[in-house]
Amino acid sequence: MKEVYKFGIPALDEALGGGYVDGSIVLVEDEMGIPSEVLLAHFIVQGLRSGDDIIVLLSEHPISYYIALINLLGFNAEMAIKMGRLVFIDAMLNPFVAGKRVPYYSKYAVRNVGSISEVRQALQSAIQELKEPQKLRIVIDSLSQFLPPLVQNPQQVVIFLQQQMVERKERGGVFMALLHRDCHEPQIIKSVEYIVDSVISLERVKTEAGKPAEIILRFLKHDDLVLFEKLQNQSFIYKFEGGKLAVYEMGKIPLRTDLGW
Amino acid sequence: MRAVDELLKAKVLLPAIKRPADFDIVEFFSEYGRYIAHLAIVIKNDHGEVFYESSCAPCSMENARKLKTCLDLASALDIEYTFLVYCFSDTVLSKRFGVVREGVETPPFDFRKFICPNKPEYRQYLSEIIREIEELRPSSIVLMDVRYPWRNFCFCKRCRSEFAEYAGSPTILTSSHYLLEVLQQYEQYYEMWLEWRSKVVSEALAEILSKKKEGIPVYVEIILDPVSEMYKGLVEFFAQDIEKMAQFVDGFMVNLFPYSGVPNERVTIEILEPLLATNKDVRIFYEGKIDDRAIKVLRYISSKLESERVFINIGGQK
Repeated sequence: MKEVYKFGIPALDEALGGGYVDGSIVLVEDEMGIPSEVLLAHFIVQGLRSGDDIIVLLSEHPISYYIALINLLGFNAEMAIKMGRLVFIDAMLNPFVAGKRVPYYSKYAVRNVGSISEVRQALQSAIQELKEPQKLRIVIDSLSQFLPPLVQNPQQVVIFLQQQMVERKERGGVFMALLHRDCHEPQIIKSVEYIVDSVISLERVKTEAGKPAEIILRFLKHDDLVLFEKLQNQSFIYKFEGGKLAVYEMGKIPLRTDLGW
Repeated sequence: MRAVDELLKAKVLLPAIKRPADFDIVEFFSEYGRYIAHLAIVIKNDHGEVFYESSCAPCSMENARKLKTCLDLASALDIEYTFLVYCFSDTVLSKRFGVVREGVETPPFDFRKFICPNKPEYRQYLSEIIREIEELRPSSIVLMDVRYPWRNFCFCKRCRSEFAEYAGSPTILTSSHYLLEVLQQYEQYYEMWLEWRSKVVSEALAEILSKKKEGIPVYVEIILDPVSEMYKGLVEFFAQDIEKMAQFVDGFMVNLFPYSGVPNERVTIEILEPLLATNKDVRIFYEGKIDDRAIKVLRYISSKLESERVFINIGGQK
């Protein structure tokens, strides 16, 4: 039986038939102002609860931000780092803190901001440190820093994703990356979507007149075509309030667990 | 097994659930609930998984729910529960903090799941787990596997260098790759090595309990088995010095013959004398095969101890 990688969010895990299968490459697309990092943090925390090893590469947030988020979701991030189960790669702050004392959790760094080849090297080093992880989750927040207009061409990211695709299919693990849809030309988004196994979209949508827009989560692509037939007809309400993430299917009455209680 | 059923119902033996994930808790309580006064249950297993919603250790929600049901039923039926915590055996983390073997001798169990007790980060992790499980209000906590796995462990970089320093950095130990055989050739260093190892284990025990509040009694597992040379093996194989450990715990849980099963010769209560002499509470845990001979021995020991103190692993018996 293939290993599954859950989100720890009942509505999504159920929709995905238990979770993502080993070897999946997942793209999460969002728009400005959507707290999609909470979704990624849930994926990380669920991995820690399941005994998986986690690598998180951050190009937009300081590591302390994610540590606080993981702690908020009920897992002691510092302890997981000390136990070597949670490895952060700093692709944001490191080049700017030269000469200052590097915090203990910032063992790996991408010094050349925007360099995907350095990302690849840092990932390899982090995987080696984990010593043959049995179940591995790789999370990148976000890929947008490595795509135009911030760099000249998207080719390097496409090659990187193809390599991840081969590596994860061979060695196992799930790769999940965030992409800001509104930062890039549509054809760049499409070229990335084509490569990955699954695409989750988070967008603000006006569902009722006179009410503020809701964040809607949808599956735009999934490599299991039978499952995708069902997934493409589902939309989920996504809310992050009071430190809790609520995700439930539109039109259904949410259960307590769907509301993050 | 019928005899075990009768002994559990007669409160001669107490149940210990070593694999709560595979155990039908509700069925167990419906059959034995009214007879059982005290139940031991593994809360952190030797795979590294815990059975409650932890903030630092792996745990599935399904198992956490199962344990909660178990504790709710136990409370409702007024059954005491003791938690067994596997300490320096943890498959999930052993690839990072694992022990290093010297020589060809292989212990009669999978030593690769063992973690070196000389790793401060891992000790802190265990102290955090003890702090968390205290919140679940068990009647006592038993720390299992607070030891080196066998006599030819551990020769990791940290153990080698710290022992060399402890021994005053003699020339024979200044090489980063001195061998167990070298130590055994020089009696004084071998004695020092045994002493140093037991110091490490006692310090580890103290650190594991450093965040624990007063109140809930703590026991530490002691293995008595002919394969590990009974009491002689406590220091030589496992680096467990009873006197040093007694400073930090309220009692000992004797894991009786886990490797060899009950021996042929009649077991007498005298085998517990050195432990009883510490004036600490002594309990027995038997996880081996239950046959007529084992039942006879366990019954006898139970009758000699003052109260109900003999736990048997019921996971694989039925």
